[in-house]
Amino acid sequence: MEYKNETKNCQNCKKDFIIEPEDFNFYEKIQVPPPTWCPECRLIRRLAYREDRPLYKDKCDNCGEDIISVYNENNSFPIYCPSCWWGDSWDGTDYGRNYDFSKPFLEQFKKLLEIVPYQATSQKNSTNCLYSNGNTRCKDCTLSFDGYESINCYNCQGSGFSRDSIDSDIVLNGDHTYETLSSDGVYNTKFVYFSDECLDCSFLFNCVGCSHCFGCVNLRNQKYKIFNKQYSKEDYKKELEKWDLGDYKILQNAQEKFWELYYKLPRKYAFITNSYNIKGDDIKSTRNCQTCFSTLRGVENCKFIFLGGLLLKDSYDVNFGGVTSELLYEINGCEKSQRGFFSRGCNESNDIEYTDKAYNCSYLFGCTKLRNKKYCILNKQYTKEQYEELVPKIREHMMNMPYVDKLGRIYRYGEFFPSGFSSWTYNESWAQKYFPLTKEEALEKGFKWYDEKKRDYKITIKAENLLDHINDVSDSILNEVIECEHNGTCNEQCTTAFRILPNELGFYKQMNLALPHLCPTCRYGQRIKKKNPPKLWHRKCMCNGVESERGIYKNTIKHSHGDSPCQNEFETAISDERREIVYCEKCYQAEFV
Amino acid sequence: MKTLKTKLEYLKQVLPMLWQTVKFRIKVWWHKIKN
Repeated sequence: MEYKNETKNCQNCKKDFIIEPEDFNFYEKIQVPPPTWCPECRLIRRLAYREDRPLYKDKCDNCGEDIISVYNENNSFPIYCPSCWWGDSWDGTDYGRNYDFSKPFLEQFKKLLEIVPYQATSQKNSTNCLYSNGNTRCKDCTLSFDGYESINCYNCQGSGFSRDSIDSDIVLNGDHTYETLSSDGVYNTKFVYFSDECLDCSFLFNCVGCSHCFGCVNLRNQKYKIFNKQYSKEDYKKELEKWDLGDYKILQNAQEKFWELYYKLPRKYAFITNSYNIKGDDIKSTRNCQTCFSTLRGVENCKFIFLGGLLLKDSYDVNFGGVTSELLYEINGCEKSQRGFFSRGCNESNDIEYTDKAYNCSYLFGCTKLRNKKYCILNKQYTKEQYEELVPKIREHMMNMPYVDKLGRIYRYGEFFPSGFSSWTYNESWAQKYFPLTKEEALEKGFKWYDEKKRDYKITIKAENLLDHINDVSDSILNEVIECEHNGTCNEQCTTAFRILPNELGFYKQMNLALPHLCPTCRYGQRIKKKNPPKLWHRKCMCNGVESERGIYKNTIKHSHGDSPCQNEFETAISDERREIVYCEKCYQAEFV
Repeated sequence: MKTLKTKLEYLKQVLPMLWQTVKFRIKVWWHKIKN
């Protein structure tokens, strides 16, 4: 069937959005109705279903052991420690129930969600990972989340094949990295952002193949450069002595000077490498993908993906998904799965709909926390024939008797779970990281909000009273409770106080780094702000011919468009309210590559 | 057959990643010797 662009009004934000012919083809292929929410609202709705931190102290509802959990104390459902959850003492089908055609499906599903045990934290084949969640094959990591094959990392998020790193996010092959973000193959790096294959460097942005560089932006295969200025090996060493990062004040100065340089130089409209036919940002080895963010390695024919990779194919609206998966739609966290729709946390499963956490399952509809099951509806076991007969009836029932939330939004078959079903509140979830809201705004939009309990830490030292130089700091700092500089005034789930761990202190001394003045959560919050939001703006290249708009940057070479302004337009994740000078690919390449 | 094809495709993506890790380790080792 031939489709045309169709403009629809979002049920949630009431703004118009367009569904393109290729989208209709996809919906037809997987036999789901077109969405009634716009892509951004759908993304936020899914992000509200993901949380890594904060962590809470709790007790396992099965064995009574003290545990660390990702769920706050206001939740009424049972929480099991990982060993009880994976144990054989319970089974998800024990909670199975008959489908009731007198009530909306999602209302029945919500009831089920409230009684089936949740896993406090999920870790796969990891050893000695304390206060961590979502790690796979990691060792000795503390306060680390979604790590893969990493060793000895602290306060890291999404680090893969990394070791001995602190405060680093989305770093692959990192070794001795501190405050490093979205980088691959980096060793002995401090404050390095979106840079690959860099060694012994500090303060880098978008550099590749550099070593012994300090405070540099947009460099390729360079050595001995300080603030983009070339030095000889000897002069570099002499000059670097002035930038002793072990001193907090010098560290602050270096940071200021680095960001000053960053804002003076043009930035490419998007980070896209080894990819073609792409619209999005932070993309590597991907093809035929539109409106995708942070995807890598073999993502193909997809749309509206946020954080996906390793052979994710023919999928729409997926967050945190991939690893040989295909035909996914409205999915939050899925690995090695096929034909999964409107579900969360499903691994090695196929043909699942409206399911929350399933491992090695197939043919599930409206199930939660199942392992190794087939043909289940609302956690009740059916035969293949019964399942195939009942599911079409439920889909039809969902269309005729939809769930309606407090704000009057209608959830027919084809919609992801309502935000109110999430086990997390808006301010705990990933949604707050990229689409921050105030408490009033979140409640108005139908999200839940968690009012943090007042913490009663006995502060022994204020951050401002910490010794300036790391060499002056003795081991007695390990006994201190340090007050975070934000002291709960920020929007970053500030823990208000923190301690320095022995390994952490050793790392700062080895790397010659001043002690941090912010708690780990605030440091993470500050770092994530350097990432672009998963959102696109239509903009024009800021190259005016011989210089950038507002004359901040003077071009060093004549561009293909001559002295007249560049006419190239693009979709970028950098909004026009930001200070950066944004160049199109051609102008950027002319200047820097 | 399809599973085998998917597995091969997966290996095609994963092996370069592993090779990158090995390359990175060698690079760091050489860098440490040199400096």
